[in-house]
Amino acid sequence: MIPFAFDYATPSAFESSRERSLLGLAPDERRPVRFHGRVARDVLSFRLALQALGELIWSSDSWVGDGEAPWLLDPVTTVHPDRVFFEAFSHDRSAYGLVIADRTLFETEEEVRCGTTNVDFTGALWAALGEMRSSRSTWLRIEPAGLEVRTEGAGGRFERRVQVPDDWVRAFLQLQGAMAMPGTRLRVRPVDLLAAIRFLRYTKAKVSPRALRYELEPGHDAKVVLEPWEKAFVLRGAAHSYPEPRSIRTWGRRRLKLIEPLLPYADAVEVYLKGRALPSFYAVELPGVTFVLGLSGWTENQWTSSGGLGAPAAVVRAELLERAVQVLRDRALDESTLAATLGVPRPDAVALLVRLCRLGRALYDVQRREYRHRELFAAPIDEARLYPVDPCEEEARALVAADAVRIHSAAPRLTAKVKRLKTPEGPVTREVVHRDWTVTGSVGPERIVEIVLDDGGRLIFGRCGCPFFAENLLNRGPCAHLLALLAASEDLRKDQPTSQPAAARPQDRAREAEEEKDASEEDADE
Amino acid sequence: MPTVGARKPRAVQAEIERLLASEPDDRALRERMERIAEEPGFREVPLAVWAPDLYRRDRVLFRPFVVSHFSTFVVSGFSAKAVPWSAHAARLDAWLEQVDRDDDVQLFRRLYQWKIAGSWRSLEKRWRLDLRARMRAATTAGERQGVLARFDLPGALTEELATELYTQDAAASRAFILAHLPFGWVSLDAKRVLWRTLFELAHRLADEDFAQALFRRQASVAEWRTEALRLARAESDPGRLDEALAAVHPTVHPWNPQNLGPVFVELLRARGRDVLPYVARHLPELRRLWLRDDGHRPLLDLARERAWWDLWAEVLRTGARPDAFDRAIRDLVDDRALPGPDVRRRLQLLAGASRELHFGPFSLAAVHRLKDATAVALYERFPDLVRGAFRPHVGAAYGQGYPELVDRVRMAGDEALLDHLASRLFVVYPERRHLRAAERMADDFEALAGEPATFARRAAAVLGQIPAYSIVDYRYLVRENRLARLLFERSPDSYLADPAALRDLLEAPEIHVQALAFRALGRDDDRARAAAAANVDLLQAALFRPLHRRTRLLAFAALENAATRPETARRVVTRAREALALPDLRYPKEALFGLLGRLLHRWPELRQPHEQPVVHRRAVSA
Repeated sequence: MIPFAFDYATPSAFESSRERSLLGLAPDERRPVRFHGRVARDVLSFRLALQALGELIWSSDSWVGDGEAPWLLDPVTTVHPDRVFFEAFSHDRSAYGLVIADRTLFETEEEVRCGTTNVDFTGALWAALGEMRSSRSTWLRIEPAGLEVRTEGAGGRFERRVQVPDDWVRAFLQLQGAMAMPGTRLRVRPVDLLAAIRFLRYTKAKVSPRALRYELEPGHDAKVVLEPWEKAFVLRGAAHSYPEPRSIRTWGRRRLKLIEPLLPYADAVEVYLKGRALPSFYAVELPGVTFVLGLSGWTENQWTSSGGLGAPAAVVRAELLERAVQVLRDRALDESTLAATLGVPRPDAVALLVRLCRLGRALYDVQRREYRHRELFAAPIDEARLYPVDPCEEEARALVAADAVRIHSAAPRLTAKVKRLKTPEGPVTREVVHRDWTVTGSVGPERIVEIVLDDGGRLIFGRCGCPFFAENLLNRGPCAHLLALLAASEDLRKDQPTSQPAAARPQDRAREAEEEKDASEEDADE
Repeated sequence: MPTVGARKPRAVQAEIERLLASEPDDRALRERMERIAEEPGFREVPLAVWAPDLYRRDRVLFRPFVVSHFSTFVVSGFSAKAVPWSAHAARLDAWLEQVDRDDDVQLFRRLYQWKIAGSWRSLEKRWRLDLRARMRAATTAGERQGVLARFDLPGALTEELATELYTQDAAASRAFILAHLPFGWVSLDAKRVLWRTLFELAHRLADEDFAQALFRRQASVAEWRTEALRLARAESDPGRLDEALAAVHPTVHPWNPQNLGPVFVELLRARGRDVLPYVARHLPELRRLWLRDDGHRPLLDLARERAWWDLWAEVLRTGARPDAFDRAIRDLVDDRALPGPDVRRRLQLLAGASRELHFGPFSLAAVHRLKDATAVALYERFPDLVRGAFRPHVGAAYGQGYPELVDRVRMAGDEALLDHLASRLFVVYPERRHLRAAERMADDFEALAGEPATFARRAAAVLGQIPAYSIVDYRYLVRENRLARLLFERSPDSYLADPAALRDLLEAPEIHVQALAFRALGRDDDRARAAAAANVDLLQAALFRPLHRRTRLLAFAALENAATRPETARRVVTRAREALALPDLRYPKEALFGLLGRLLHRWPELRQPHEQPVVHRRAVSA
């Protein structure tokens, strides 16, 4: 657990009269940030984005609670010379929200003090935001204020301490790495994404697979396919440049409902896909404000369950790291600009930025594709504790790099079942195909290594002759050889359609006949 | 009900036995079994007849089928009968052995539970004996982990067994022991007894995390008190003390709380404000003592004695009962000896939600309501506080009305507060006391009939404060509540007098309020058309939002009014075309087509090539 202490002079409050509204966000007094400005336009967008962020903080897509006392970490606000960011990470570590507002949205008053701080954000404040109106002059104030200067606020000065689990913090930080990973960018119409979300709203999938699959065919607009129905929604105008067909599966699609209230008001959505079962990001462009939703590969993945994302942090000189921070303090920039500014090769600049993200000292602006300075913590984190070295992962990387992995076979094991699935247009009968991938090969000195992955790419079975496996089986995670085989076989495991039309089963036919009879009787009654 | 023509269970069983004996192809057998499993008679065939054989033939191929049809009952119609293990002991014992050999933990657990089924006590005893024997026989860490995984079933360990497991393999058994502590440890304090031997063993092995977890779950209040006070004396750094106290804080079941208040007082006396963040975090636990004891009282006394007003307020707001909270407010307001600014400051400290509960997407905030007399007294001395920080504390609630306060506020002409009080009357079950207040407010609004712009402004201010999803039964509300009837049903034209009020209604969080705006904007009136066009950015979202059919039809009428200018018409038509792609159930697509048709008729330049009308004429003969 990592202890965090917050010192709020007063609780955040939303005050509204007939002519004027004031959203007063109380920052942590230890990290004072000052921003006082009138929201010059697009008040409704600003309100909707902040409300979506609030819903994300408390959202939980898991069925099982923590057991221990619940904790929540307040949102992080960063004021930059050109943009204001509000970040939050869900309690279940599966969703990340980022509200981006251009500084042109605000007419600021007096001095602005840039920086990063946590702000007090409660459920009561979330509800009060519903009273924000575009007809009133609306002000945003992020400013520490003692009780002596307050007249309207409620509650009192109280230092708050929360113990935040290590994996939650690690997940938050690794997210920055995931955002900066190369991937696919699609610009889609809000209605196309909304259609997919609505289909899921009205149609519950009671059988797996339940992935959201992006199909990218050369010469065609991208489309999103919902499993197990194989229901496709064409993303009109979502161009891509892949020369050969490609599909990217993502899981945890229920979490997309977090952006559902924003889509009717949005101008466009940019979807950033990082790969199969890897995080995906949805930047919803509202007038004046952008809301970015980041989703882990699947809900239980939580970014941290097995190893880190992307390459391990390279060793960089502390002096160079500080220079990079100084440069970022002045302006936002990309890897090439940093490399040119510091006079270092581009790979070194990438390593520097990855490391800064891991330390919580930089933020990746996925929309502008540039890095920004953001000190997530008041005190430096204990990197060794937060990112303990996993010898198995290290060894696996070395084995793959040394080309010591030979794959003998990689084949899907099919299990087909005929299912009657509900859809908004009525029930359909489809043959649902589950594909467990069995991969066998040799890794280094181990002649026979075998892994079985389920439909979502999770390791469900493994076999290896090494002493680590013999001692622990899979109870302490897979051994280096299993991990190496898993990594090396990634490209061989292709996603395919998960169901196809099938003839109705006898009991389904009987049920359909019964339903038709009931419907005709009802019609006759009317 | 048995299906007509369905086979008898005996016939189904005979076919299964025939297939198992004669079908050489495993895949064909699986397909046949899948089909047979769909027959009602299959559920009356005991598992032991087919599952062991299938598993033995090819466990990879047949395991999913076995797991999905695993049942220790035979089901006939609506009745289910348990199948005793002893009825098929030979076959099942052999199967269990094979499952055990194959490391199939999930199936082992299910079979083992079936095998030892009986009374709870005998089951638990047998489970412990088997666990002990298997752990003693395990020679490697892998084997020990395998045993613990197999025996991870409901049941409680004894201290002796837990200590033995821990001694054998501390790393593997930590989580297992914590998951199988006796249930009594979360129950009555008298039954909370720390397993000293195990606790001290963990200490000796420097396994502090495990020792602390055990302590949190098992230590009695007395043991926790001793440890907490020892830490308070030993640890000088406030940050580290906070962490240390958190590590030993007892895990108390919410259904059976312990009185932790006195120990908090001792800690505060020992270390002062150093332990305030720790105590503040656990104040909500005092609330659970409401029905038994005033756990907050000693803390309040100490806070007053030391003039720790932040602690005093926090205890009252989060840990005290509503009447104690109300009494504190009343005492403060009546206190004329204390300087006014000090009274105000303490009142400010007390205001706010006492707790928030979050259940995934749903959140609730609990607020202490003031009594009517207290609210009146507070309003007379600090009206701005009632309008501001204490506003949530004076909303009408079940069993709590504010007739006196409403009268006082009406006399003072305090529109802002009156609007808030009126808005609360829409979200509460209409009791007689609330209806009386609504009647009086309705009279005030009816008096504004000659000033439609003022009426619209005031009404929008009231309706805009109704929280989302708070009107549960609209029809009942407008039938019973005269004010609701007046604002929702009888005055849609009045809102057209103030365009700003209309936009406020459209942005309101409650859907019935938005529907009222749609109704007003959809009227056949030039003012409605102008206002609809000005609000097209909000109206067009109604095409995509999830709305009830009736609300959406109202929105369509408003959208049609909005499309009176080329640029607004273009926006509406574009969005309406896009909305055709939505798969929403009960979306009135026919009405959407009608809207599109009317708009394209009015604005022919917006038609796409395939939307041009085709006029067929008789061919002219040459």
